[in-house]
Amino acid sequence: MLLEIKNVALEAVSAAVSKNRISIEERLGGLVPEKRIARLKKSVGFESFSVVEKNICTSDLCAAAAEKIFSETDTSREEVRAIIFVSQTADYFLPSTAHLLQSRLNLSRESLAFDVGLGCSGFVYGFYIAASLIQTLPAGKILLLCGDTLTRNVFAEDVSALPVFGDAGSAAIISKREGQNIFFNLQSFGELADAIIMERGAYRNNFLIEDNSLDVRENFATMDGAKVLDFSIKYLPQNLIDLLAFAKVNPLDVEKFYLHQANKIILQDVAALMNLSTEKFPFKSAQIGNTSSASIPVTLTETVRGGEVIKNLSVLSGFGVGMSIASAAVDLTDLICLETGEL
Amino acid sequence: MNAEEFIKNLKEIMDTESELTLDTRLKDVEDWDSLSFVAFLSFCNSKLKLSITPEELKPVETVGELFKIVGGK
Repeated sequence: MLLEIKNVALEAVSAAVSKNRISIEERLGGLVPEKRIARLKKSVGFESFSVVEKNICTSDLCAAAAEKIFSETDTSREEVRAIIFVSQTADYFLPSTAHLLQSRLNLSRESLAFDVGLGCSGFVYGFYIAASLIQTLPAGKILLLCGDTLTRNVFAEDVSALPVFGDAGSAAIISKREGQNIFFNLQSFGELADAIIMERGAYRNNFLIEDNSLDVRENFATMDGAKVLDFSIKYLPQNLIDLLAFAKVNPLDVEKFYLHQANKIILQDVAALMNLSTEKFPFKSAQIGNTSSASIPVTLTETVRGGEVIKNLSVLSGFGVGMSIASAAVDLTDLICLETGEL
Repeated sequence: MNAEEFIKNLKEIMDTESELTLDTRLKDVEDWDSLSFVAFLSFCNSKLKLSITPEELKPVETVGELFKIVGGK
């Protein structure tokens, strides 16, 4: 679904990763041959991973990212009128983590707060929800918090997920701005839901208990890598081409495509299928991992940390769990993007 | 792409030292793992611009059958 939202800005972005970094060798030690680790680094592209300690939740990383925004930008806590927490790894089934963060960050009671259950496409989805919602708010700004601690959902011997996922939380400010228009393309592919799924632990299926232990493969998330690749190359290039045609932008004139950092293979394939240079598709997560809904903010904050400038009409695009795709074409010249923080 | 070139590409994708012929059974090649499967899928779709799905590749048993899928498109 293509649509345009007028007079709205992605004003500021910040992200926090774990201080704890684990190399791929350590992550896969003893589980796969050494040669395979070298192949994984080269093709999938991840070398080390941000992995939280067991007592750290997504909300902790998001809170750190939000505090960075309040201390390093002009946005004050008093201006926040809505808190949206986008994640597949909430603190509790209830209440919503957004309310916990509203209180923890000392945000106004004159606000609304809610959670959205999305992963890879979550940042752009959240951006769309915030951009829509802000049209109805009398004043103020929206705090969008996206992130995941997927390493806590990975089985200790899952050699396909261990060399992919990392943990991060992000914070973004969405505000009204005359003259800035954003174009979106949002799509849902529910028929492919089983490509990335955690089947147990919620209301459909209880966790399995074997020998008094929950440490059973079936209790963790699973990902069908071939199915995810097939989905991405089949639908993502067209989603982006349609978005740019709708926004009346030539793909060659897009400064950068900041894509969800699924892995290097997918980014290269999408670039090739669109006949564009891979340089337009930054891969900035080699030392962090695929951080789900935080990965687009992390790509931006890592770009700034590397001393590069974020500017001009760019594309943000998240794709994955759902399955879902959410893309936006937005001018990022005035974005205040902070460097990646650590917790 | 002829069979010789195909096998050269396949060896690169699998990063394997094993000798491959069109008759080689994939299950006998240690390096034909899930990573090779995904890398081959990526090669077909983005390099060769062929629309090939994981479902088409899954039943394949030999190098020759892989070559036929690529050549037949």
